[in-house]
Amino acid sequence: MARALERFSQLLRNPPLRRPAAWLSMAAIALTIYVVAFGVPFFIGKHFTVPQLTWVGIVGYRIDVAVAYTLALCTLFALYYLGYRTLTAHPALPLWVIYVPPVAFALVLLAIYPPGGWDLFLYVSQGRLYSAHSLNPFFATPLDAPADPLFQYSSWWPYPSTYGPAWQMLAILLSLLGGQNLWLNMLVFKLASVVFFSGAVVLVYLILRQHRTEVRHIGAYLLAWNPLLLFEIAGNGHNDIVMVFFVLLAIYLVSLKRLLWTLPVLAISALVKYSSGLLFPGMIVFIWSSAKGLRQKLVWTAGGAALSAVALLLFARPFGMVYSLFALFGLEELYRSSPATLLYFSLQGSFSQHDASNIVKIVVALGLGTACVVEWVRFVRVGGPPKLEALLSFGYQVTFFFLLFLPRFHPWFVVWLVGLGVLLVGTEQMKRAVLLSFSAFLSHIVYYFVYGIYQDRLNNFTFEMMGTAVVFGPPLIYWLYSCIRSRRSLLEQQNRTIALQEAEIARLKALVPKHRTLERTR
Amino acid sequence: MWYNLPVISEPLPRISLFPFLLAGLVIAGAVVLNLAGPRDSTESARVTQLSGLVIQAREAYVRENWPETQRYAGQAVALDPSHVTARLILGLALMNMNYLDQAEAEFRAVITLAKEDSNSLAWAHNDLGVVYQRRGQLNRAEQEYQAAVDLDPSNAQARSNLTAVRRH
Repeated sequence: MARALERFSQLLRNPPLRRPAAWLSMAAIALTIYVVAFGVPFFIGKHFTVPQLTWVGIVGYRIDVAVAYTLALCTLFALYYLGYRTLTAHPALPLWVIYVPPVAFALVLLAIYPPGGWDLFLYVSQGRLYSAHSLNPFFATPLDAPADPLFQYSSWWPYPSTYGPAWQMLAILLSLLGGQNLWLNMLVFKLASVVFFSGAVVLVYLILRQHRTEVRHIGAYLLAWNPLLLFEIAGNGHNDIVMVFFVLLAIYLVSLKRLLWTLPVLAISALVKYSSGLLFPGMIVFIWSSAKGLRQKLVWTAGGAALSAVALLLFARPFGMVYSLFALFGLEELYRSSPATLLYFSLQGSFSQHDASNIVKIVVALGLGTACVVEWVRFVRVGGPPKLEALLSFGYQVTFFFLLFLPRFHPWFVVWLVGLGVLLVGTEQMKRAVLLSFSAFLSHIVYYFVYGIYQDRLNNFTFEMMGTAVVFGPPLIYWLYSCIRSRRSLLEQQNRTIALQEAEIARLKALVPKHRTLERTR
Repeated sequence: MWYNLPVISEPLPRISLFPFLLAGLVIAGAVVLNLAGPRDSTESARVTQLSGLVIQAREAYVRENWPETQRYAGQAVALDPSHVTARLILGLALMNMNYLDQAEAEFRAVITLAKEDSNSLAWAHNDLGVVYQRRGQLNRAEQEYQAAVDLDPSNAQARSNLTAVRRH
């Protein structure tokens, strides 16, 4: 057993994929899994006439299918990890073997009915509200255009848009290209997500080329090959990657020292989805401390703020400024797959639904607020010339806490974290992000299969507890383990330093009497 | 070897232009839409007003302010009697103010209107079940909850109501 484990760890340290042919075999296995698990059963040509189909609705409420999908997802992530280890050990592979296979994976996933959520159809509906019906998507809902031929495919009918105006603008332009054709709309929206995904991969490469050139391909690989990202972006067409693209563009501008343009680009990202607004405090501190002299400080921060205001005006004006920011405050209480959900359900026994929700909101706001302030203070106290690693680490930690405290968690939100995590190649944070992407992918199995099959036997609390444990259990355990390990290694290092110092003192003490003896002799 | 042929040369020369081009396209699109401006019409103004009322009614409902909910939802229903969400919210406000007959009428109207919207239909049946349960008509309440669960098995509220009414 010990020998087998030793062999396995040796295999991981030095994977047999250093030859391009071996690497391509690995890519071929991954491609086969994408085709068999997603491409064939969810092929768009087979299902597009039926609205609101789900993963489990297409493949059936069967436990053997659930096990097969779990194995498929585990294999995809195992291959992904093997590829990472190979690139770390043998970085001299031809570049096309790294960058071409994800294009093939994305092509397979582009041709599927979105099995993990109908947000894609919601994007189309909200885009068409303006482009086809002259309605403001921040006020009107898909229910206001029930005669639209694409209406029945949509979800969240009674709700106005909760996205930012920059996304809404893009959705309008894309829906103009898609017209009334469902096929074309799906393709255009998915293709747009894939183009922004490619842009994000290029940006990761460019940022790392500036900043840690030896790992530039590893970072790009970690983003481009991530199975969850491929599934959520190319398969389900989620728009989170557009936000991540603009965050990465802002970081790239930081790495190029074009700091005046950083804040407006980050503002555009926050106008796609508001969550990237959490990065502003760190970015402002970085810009302020990078500038030399008060004049430059003021030009970069005030100029950046003025350009951000121009971006806000450009994107929000057509919808009415106030309405387009309504989404920030108009959300109802929604709970899913999060520690906040468990608290909400636990409180319901003692409090009314309304009070329980208010308590959870206060706890979440306090928890997230405290975590963000602590991270910000840590970032400010780093001292010395501002470092990109510190900014990335701040952005990563704040995003991680946001995901942890969010009342309603969805697997595609992990795209935000992985986008930042891959820039921290080799660190505990990168590994935690990848692990979260794996566990979030597995949560699809819980929410579709386990819920679908056992819904009569499980109550909502048990079910949510299972979902939350699957999503957050592995990354939190890994984080705890890494903290303990780094603390232990720090202690060991301190002990080693103390031992060396003691040995040095002993050596010096041994020298002193001889010296004195010599002096006396003299 | 065959696999060494198409190696991409580094540094990738023009790749750094791609992200800027993409961002530029988004900004150009925004400029075009700003110049074109929204195509307003009487119908769009009516729908905007209607949606605003529904949103205000929903907010008042979340605050559990039933008279305000009734006022906004009532105005929305007056503007568009076929608005399913407005009628559902109005029914809920009436039910919470104990006007059970009027609430029943609203939920029945939703059942007639929302024939293809299984989600709203399930909610209407569930809420009708609550009305019957409050009147003490447990058999009819059970039938409505069952109809709601049949229409939308993922409706946890209807499932829990069905279990509760069966325990009585």
